[in-house]
Amino acid sequence: VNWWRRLRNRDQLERELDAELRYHFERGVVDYMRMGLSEAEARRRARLDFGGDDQVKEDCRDARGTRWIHDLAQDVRFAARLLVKDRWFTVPAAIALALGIGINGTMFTVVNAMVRGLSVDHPERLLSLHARDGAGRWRGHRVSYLDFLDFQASTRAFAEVAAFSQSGVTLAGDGRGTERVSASYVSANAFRLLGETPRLGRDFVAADDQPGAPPVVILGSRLWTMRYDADSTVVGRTVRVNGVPSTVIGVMPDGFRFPVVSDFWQPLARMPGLSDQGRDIRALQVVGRLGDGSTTAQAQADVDAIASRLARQYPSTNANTGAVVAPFPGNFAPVRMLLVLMTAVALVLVAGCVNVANLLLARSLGRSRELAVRVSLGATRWRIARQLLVESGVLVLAAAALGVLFGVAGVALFSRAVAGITFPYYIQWTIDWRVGAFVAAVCLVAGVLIGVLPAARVARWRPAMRPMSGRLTAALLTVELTMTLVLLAGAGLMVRSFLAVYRADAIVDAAHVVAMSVSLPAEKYLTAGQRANAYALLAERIDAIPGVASTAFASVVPFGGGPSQQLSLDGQPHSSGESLPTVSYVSIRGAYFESLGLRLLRGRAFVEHDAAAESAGAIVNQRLAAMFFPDRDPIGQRICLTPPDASNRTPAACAAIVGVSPTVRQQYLQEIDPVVYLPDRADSAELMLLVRSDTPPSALSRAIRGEVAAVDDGIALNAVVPLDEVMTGSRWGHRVFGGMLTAFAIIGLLIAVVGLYAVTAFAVVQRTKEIGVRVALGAHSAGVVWFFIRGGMLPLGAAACLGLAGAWGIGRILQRFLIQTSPADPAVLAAIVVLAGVSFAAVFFPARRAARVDPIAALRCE
Amino acid sequence: MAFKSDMPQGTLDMVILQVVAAGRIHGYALAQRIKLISRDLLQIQQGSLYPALHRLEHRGLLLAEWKPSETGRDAKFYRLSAKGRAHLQGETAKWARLSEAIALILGAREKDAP
Repeated sequence: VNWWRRLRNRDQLERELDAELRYHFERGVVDYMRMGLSEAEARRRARLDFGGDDQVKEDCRDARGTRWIHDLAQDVRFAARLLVKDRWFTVPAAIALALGIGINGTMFTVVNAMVRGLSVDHPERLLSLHARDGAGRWRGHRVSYLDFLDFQASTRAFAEVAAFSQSGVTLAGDGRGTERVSASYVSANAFRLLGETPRLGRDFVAADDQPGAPPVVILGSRLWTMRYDADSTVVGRTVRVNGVPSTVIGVMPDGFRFPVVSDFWQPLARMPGLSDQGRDIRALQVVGRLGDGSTTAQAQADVDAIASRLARQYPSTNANTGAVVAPFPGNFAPVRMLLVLMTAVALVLVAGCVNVANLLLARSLGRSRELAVRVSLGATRWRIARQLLVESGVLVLAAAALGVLFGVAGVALFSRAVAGITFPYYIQWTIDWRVGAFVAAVCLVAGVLIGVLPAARVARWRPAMRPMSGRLTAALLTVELTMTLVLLAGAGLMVRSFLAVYRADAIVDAAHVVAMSVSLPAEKYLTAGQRANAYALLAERIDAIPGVASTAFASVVPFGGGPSQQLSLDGQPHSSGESLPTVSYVSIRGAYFESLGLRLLRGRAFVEHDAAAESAGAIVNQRLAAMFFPDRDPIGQRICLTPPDASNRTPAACAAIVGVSPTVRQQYLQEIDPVVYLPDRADSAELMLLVRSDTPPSALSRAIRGEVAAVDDGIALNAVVPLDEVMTGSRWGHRVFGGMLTAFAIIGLLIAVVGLYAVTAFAVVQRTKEIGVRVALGAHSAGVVWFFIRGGMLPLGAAACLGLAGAWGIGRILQRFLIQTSPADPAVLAAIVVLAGVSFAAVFFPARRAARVDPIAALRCE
Repeated sequence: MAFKSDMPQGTLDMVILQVVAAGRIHGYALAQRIKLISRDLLQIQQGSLYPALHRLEHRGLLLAEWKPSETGRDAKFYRLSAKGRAHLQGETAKWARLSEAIALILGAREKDAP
């Protein structure tokens, strides 16, 4: 039906209707005159025949079927005029709603980015394959090369199974300097499995992924642009990769950095030592694409069957090893945290809606007289309810427009806050159609929440009815305040945890330390002795740089994560099923603690013989000492470390504790972690270099590069990172999520307090006359004020009690993310009570106005 | 007995369509024609005629155009669309079945009566 034309040509249609009816009327007059009537009489008869002219026109307009649109347009115009007039109501209401909508949009964008996975065809059909032990526990997550080959050969559920492993490489020998880049080894089918093809050159083929095949590499677009100036003749050229001349065969498309942030790929077969790896060396990550018609359950059954066959075939390595499939790449952030944050923003939005609904209710009360007049004049209740619905609709639309702006700003703010953090390449803070659909749904729900309640009240309302009781309003306020207090408790706990880590980290003077990785060309430094010499030489030259206070090497930087091992006390037997406590371990070389600005609490630093197997020494941090030797002197105690992989549970290394250091964390887990430091034995050709100096990082970096190149220009250094960046960056989880939760809670609190204020203030205005009468009859002003305070206290008190219970609940939910903070942290609970008390101001000040009501003026208003 | 505007809507629509089916016609002539054919039994008030015409037009059963009338003045002429013709056929058939059934029932009662 052509509504649009009819709407547009409304004036013309009106003219035509008028002309048509006039034609009819005049023909009637002429016919009556022909029958011999006078003109006046003829006109009268014709008019009688016709009935009410306007009524006919109205009926014809109704027949057009566009009537409701015009009525709606009229309602919208009326609503807009009213809302502009009542801007003291409109502006706060719209802002409260817009904030609610905006933070929902922002949060959903973040969650969406973190869970949507890779942007490939049917990402839901990608599954990762992990190893697990017989008890179903995760074990290391990785898969051995030989197991991978068996899975690849025997799978029926997967169309394709690929393996990869991340590892940095040193590029040189192409006339563009020595550079360390993040790289991966991938099986030849990996890119095909993902549905990615090179923008230049070709993909790996099976022949490239054979031992002894000519070395070939593929470049990432970023590396191609930065190192080769996007030169397309790079394909076919040779570059030395860790000293091995290799041919560039392709360049991948922009933005593709599989699996995390790799810029360079080599075939899996190039991975050093791969062909010698037994089934107990589980070093590969495995991803598969489901075949047509296969389900995740079938894939699990498939890998279970293969894994149990392998367990029978190779009992010495695989007896306790199963396999488990999981969505690939999995969620980047803990789902529970994302759920908490999504719930938080939803609650803030609900609080905003409740507020606006409350204000609309109060406002519709204030319009009792207008509505009474309209009902008396014959307006149907539906018509009035519709008017109110349109009003809230217009309000929500305005708020939605503003909310989208807030949401976009929020996303920008968030991406600024996390700019320094390395996210996997597929996590992009983009606003896609899912976000759009979500925000639209949120606005719809908000509109319904806000519009329906007051409209339903009015639909039941009669002109003679007394103003409605405040019970609904009070209940809504209680819900709103409770939610806000619970949010604040959650935010408080996250902030307390962050502060606990922050305080613990502050003992390291990170501002004057820079870190960078150093990798010796493996083909040149073959033995541990050669490597140790090289490290010593480097340390000596860097120490000599003016301004450098001390230099050290470590397997991982402080705060930078690193491997963990299971710790047992020497001589204390443990049953094989018992799970041992895990500790982080770091191998260090040189003046490690001095470089961090720390002094050992007890014992001594490492000396040469600590590195020898028969007289091994270890330094533990204070936390470990307190955990394992609460009542003994840790110095001289022997500890043993075993890798977490239980299949080779032979005590790897036992050492006597020679020193206790202050607690510097490696991980960012639930508690500040215990760490064991062992002397570095130069087993690895790659170490982190830590340099303590007052020189600014850029100048220092140039000087260090000069010294390193003077030792050997084949040694690769990656970018220099200030240690405080590592430290701050490692805390991003609590900083960002805690910050977001705090922001949401504060917005919620503001909304709730404004709501409390507005409702109380409105009640006072509403009842000015009543107050006047009471005061005129001798009521004390204190009594009058108390009357209104009581009205606001009730929801506030109820909310404080419920909020305390809820605070305990959210503490339980967040427990996993709390660091040295109890879920029922007294400071946080006290803060809840205090905030509830402060919110009392929102009741008190408007209530006090009741005392200033002048009875004469109030009564004269009538 | 004269049917007034309380005639069921579908019936009025059918009558209008039937008359318009005879040829292009404007509203006034239509009213006269219905009056004439039904021997004054059906007096349609303009109050219901024009909304019905407009409704039929907007449903696409009637087509309208402005043309000079027999008096020389422009009038709005209605004619049947293809859709309207099909609709009329359907409605007429339905009406015929209905009236046949009612006639049967009424006839049966007369016969049963003592």
